[in-house]
Amino acid sequence: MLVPVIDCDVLVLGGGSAGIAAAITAARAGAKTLLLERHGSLGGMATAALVHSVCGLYFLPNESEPKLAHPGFPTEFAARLVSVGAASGPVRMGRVYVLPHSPPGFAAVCDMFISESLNLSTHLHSELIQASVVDGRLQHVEFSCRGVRSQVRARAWVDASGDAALCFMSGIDTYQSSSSSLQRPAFIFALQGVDVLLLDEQGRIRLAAIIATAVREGRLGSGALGTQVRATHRGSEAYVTIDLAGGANFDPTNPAQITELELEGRRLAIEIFTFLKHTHPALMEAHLSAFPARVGIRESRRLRGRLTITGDDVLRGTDSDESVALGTWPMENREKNTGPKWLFPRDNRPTQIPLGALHSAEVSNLWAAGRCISCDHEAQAAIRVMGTCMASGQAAGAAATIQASEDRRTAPSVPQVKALISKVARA
Amino acid sequence: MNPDASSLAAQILHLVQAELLETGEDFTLDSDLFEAGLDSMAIMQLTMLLEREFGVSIPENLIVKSTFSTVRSLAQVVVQIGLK
Repeated sequence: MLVPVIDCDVLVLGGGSAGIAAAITAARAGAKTLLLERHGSLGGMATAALVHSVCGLYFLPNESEPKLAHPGFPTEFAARLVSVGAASGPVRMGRVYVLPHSPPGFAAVCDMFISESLNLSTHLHSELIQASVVDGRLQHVEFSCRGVRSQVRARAWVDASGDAALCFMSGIDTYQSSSSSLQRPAFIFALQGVDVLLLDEQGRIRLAAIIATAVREGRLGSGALGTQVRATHRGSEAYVTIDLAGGANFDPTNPAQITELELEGRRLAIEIFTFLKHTHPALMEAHLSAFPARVGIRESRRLRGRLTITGDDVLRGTDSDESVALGTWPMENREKNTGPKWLFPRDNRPTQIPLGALHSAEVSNLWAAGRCISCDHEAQAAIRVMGTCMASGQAAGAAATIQASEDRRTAPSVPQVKALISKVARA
Repeated sequence: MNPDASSLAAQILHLVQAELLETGEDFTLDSDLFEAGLDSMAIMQLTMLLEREFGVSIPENLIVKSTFSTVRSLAQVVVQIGLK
């Protein structure tokens, strides 16, 4: 059977925060762009995993007013979320600013952006199944939509899959941290019928007290430690976030293990919710209204790039001549499932993301964006958040576009990438 | 603050800094923990850490904001409960 071939300039794999940024940027820059996404909607973790706030959009607070950190797509996307009522903020949470959003609203805004975009085709429900590298260049890939296969020939490629799936399928080296140190995954579910007035700060501390003492006394499993419940202030809705332990030999790219994670997430969600419904006044009338489409993996495979951002770079806020994007989130270490450990950079300095951290060391036309860019485990705890993903996505989309139009093996330069980002920016 | 609570407070401060929060150079036993980023989840963690490190179980009715407002207030509560 003949497999239809799609020709394009740039293919972006993954329609999450990074992929959307890359695809829209490339399309606006004039590249014929194809976006592939395996779920039924775009947004990645912001929709499928029910992550409900965008982190990393603002500089770490040095003044009292929050300041958006990423000109271009991230700023524009955030503004659109707010203008359609899908987000409200920013909101200060401890020492950071976040933009709480509605997952369905995020999905709808993604749809708006792709519908408004010329030069962009999007294929949902499409899973990458094969990639062919010849002479150090990625030549073509194949994807399947429930068995209906298509081939894509592109000049430049952006891996925004989160799990560096395109890199992996290209047969090149990828990094993955050791099982014991990998960031633990999040499982987020929705409640309705919550008494939101009883979930204020005092109510949340009460919740912590109830859980801590119940775990200590053996009335609740220790998987419940680190549970966070937040009212969304949309009706009686709240989201519950739990971190999963992951077990020995934790590997989120292993099919058997990721299956176990999903089952464990739902089991634990029911156990914790049932317990809280009987013990916390805010949840007395609540019901569990939605599970996520998928568990929220925070860290898995990453690109091995020409450059690698280190934890030291994050903590020192090291300057870089090659910077094409910023990270503005602290290190949020979740190696344990009992809650995060925060490390802030010196003077709240942003992380510089160099072009070389987005560019494969082995395949000249392969780029990465989002949480799978080239960084070490420590740095990943800071750069994985969605605001940073949008910023690196924008840069990767620009780089891929330049490379596709010039079609040489010479890498696009940093000034070229920055100029193109500015040129197509609408915010 | 009595000597027991003083040395305990120093140990608690160290524990908080090592496991939970980064505090500035001028962070003291009387600095506001919530300002420094302590939230309900961190309270849960801290309660379990105190149990692990000092063998103390803070009863549910004392896991309240005032207990955790400063390292000093926390140390005083812990001393009240009594170390095992």
